[in-house]
Amino acid sequence: MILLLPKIHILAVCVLCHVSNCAAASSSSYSEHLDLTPLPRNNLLASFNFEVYSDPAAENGFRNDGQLFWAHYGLFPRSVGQIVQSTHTHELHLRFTQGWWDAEEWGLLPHNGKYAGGSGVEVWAWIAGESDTQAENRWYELVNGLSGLFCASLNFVDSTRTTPNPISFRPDSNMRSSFLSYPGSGENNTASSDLHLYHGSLPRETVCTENLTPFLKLLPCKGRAGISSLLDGHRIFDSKWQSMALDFVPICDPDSGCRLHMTQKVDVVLDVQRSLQRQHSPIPHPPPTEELQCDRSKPYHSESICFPLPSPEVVDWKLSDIFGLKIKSSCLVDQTCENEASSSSVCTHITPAWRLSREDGTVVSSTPSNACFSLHDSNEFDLFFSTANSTSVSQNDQPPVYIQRSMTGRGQQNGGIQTIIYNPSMTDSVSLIYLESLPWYMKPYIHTMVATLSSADSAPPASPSTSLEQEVIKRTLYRPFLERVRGTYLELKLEVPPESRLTLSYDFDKTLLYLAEYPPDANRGFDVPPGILTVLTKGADGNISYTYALRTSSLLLSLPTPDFSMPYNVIILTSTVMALAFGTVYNILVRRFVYEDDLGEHTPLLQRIKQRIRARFVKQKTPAGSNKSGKVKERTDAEDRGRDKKT
Amino acid sequence: MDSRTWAVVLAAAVLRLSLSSLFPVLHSVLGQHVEVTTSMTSFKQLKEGLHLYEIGISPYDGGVYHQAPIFLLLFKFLGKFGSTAPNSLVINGLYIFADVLTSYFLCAISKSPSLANTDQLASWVIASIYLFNPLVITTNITRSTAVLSNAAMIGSIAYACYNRNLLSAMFLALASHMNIYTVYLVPPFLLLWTSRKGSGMASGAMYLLLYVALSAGLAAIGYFMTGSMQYLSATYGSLLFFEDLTPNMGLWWYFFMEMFDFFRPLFTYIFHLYSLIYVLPITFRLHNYPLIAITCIVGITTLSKSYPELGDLGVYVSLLTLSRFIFANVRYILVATLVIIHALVLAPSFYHLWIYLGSGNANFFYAITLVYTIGLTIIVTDTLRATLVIEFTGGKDPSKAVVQT
Repeated sequence: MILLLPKIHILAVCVLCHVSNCAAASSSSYSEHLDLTPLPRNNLLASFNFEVYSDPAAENGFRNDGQLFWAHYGLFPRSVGQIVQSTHTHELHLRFTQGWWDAEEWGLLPHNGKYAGGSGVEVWAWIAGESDTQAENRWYELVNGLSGLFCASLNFVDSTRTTPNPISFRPDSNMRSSFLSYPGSGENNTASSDLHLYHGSLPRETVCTENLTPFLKLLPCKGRAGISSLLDGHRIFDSKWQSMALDFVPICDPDSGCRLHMTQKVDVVLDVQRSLQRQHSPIPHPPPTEELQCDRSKPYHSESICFPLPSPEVVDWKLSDIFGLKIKSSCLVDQTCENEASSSSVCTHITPAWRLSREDGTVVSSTPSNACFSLHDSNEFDLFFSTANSTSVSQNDQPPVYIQRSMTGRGQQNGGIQTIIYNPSMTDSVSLIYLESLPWYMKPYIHTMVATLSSADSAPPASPSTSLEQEVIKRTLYRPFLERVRGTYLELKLEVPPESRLTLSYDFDKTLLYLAEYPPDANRGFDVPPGILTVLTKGADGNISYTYALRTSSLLLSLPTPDFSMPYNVIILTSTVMALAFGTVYNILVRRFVYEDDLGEHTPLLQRIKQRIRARFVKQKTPAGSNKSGKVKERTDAEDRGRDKKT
Repeated sequence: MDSRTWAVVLAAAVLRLSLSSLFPVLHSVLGQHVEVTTSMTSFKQLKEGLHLYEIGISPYDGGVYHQAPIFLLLFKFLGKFGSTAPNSLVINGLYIFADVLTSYFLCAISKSPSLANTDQLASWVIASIYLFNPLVITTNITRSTAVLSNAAMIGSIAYACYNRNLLSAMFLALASHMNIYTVYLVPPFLLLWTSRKGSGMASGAMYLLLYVALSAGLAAIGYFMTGSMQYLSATYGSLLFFEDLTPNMGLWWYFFMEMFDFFRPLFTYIFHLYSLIYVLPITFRLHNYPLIAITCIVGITTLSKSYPELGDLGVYVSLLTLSRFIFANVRYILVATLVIIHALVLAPSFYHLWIYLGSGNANFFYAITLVYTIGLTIIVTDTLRATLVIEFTGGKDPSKAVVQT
């Protein structure tokens, strides 16, 4: 009802159809594709798409235990293939994301959010296992393998960061397909019941060039040719939002058997002005007066006063300005395929206000505003974009839902989480699944969860009522945290009426950690993984499909910290106080009481101490011993003897 | 109870009712104070556990709820009569009843035949020392479940003073089911029964048997309620392994927070041993004064338990008032009182400095917990010493100075 497939997709699908037809003859196939879409305020969305298929399973061998086993990967990267095979992974999704997608300006996420992760690293996989423990151990094996492969801290995805079997995800492949069956297994295939879904996220992970390099290494041309040669870490990570995705899905069809399919995508929103400025002046400095673009509508505008326009409207740039590089030839690997053109192409999605031209000056007519170029020669490829009105961009659809999550409260003892979900549609209500996985040191109180619904015109929220909660929250899946073992898992099935704002809020407590559990910069805070919102759409045939996915931003949780320099002091001081109590009680319990009078001659304590000090002092001063000091000593000795006798 | 006591009880009930109804915010404000309520007694966590229990999720399958299953049963039952919101009538009624019951038991102890020949305060004084103790009122307003477990504990002492074997064992089993540290009172109770003239050993054994059977019964209730023994690890296990490091007035939290991983099990063991080690020596040494032995054990538990709270101090102080005769021989009561007041005033402010303002760090609050512990130590040791002096002198000729050798 809400979602139209964006134009990007239609083309990608066509490329796919073609590839599969073409590849029927060949063993494995590869295609790459770049979509360039200018966004408002001089931003550019570049979507890189790389797809690779392995050799069909029919041409491969089987292991003794019957597990599918690929002997020949073809163009499919062996490194990923082996990790996935050895951990019995049936489907793997890996996301590296950074930045913030401005949904109000830019509209729908690329590919309907299917390939966009939450900030940091996100990974989920379907893993076969006879038991939960077996599958879980394979999952840790998998993330450790991926950690080495992608230079990411994925090995920190432990039980506290793993969410088992959330309903927010569905497999892309048909799990009941013949992929899992092997000769002799018969038709009764119950293997899908043994598949376990695990989801893990590392919101704190900084995605950087060390993740991009291994990512590109998986491609047949390894980033040296074809559109992947544009992917330079300096430009990709200097962006407003970027997401790298790696999806591994087995594709099975009855005719050609099963093949491994891997999709790698890089979606990046670049600030064109920033990139251009970087090109001609790497060190930022204010532009000269004549280059300033002023808002002439301001009443105070004059020769000397300029209110700068948010972004220049007349722009003129080329692809190599933005990425710092030109596309180096094409990555034509599928030589046997006759029509190579669609396996490597660049497409633009612009409005008629834009003028597109090639390096040699040929103007490309842009009707119907989507121009595609195939890369099939060994020449370098560049593309010139110019327009007199950069605000004219192809209209991106409004997302079906907006979400915003924030932390409330003050202090480091407790707080609250508030999530606002807004359905902008005038007519249709939207059904959603909202997944939140919180770290264990955040202790939510689910009984404090309040759902309030307000209409879009910022009317005061209606008072919470149980009936409302039942109306909005269709289903709650909840698993409380367990200290140092697992985090909180909360999944809600929601129904947001049209043009209204749903506010969910609940309280949580913060807790102290052991000293060694704090990261080196403990006062920065702890990252809470993004919430995941999935939009459900009921098709005409009654099937519910997951049509759109989006993430909230991650949250920064500040926990109380101890004094990190204190371990010895605390151990010593606490032990002293305990010893004081113990010593005193022990003393009182075991020693005998006597009347003071029975002690004989009693010298007050102060006087005794004085005498002793004097005795020592005098003795030291005159080692030979004077008459006087000898007397004192004698006396103290006699006193000691007397006391001994009494005890 | 005489009319004066009734007046005190009525005034205390009205005070509690008016505090919670006129200042409903008090509950949430005080409930945030870690000195007053811990994760072992927090009402908010109880509500969370109850909510989970009612929606069919085991509250013990997680780190949310650490309290005894009997509370779930009780509050679920109370839920039938009205809202179990912290300031609702039902909850107000329950907590006022628990406090009044505690004060009734305290008065009963003071009137018991075993203390007949000692100098006792008037009932209304004892009741008002308990009921108007700010620590007790605060604990009551936060709806800490320690109010209930303390009532059960004092009840078991009261029935023991009146030779009511079954009722005492029942209350003790209930109290130790709610708060496992009450188990420390079993040895002095056994001593109490076995020292009886006549069937000493038999009644002691009978008492132990009753206690174990009733405890097992309560454990079985927990099992049938939750369907598994998982609750044991969630309640007693979490207390044993000290996994929740939320600050409190005790010695544990900062010590284990700063402790090196490798030594943590060793020191957990030592700390438990530390709180346990006093029980038998005090029981045997004070065999002539079982009530004071119980009081001392309660006091030492207050300073050595893993999740202490200020309500425990209120109960300890009230128990102390029952042994008036030792006060002639205490020496440092003024110092100790001042030290404790000092700690009680500074603890919330230092906590605020650390957690909310960020202008102080954890050491501030830690230092105050040390001061508080020292104050408690002084009181415990001083009363212990005073008791032994009285035992030595036989209560006569207090002018003669006594020393220990």
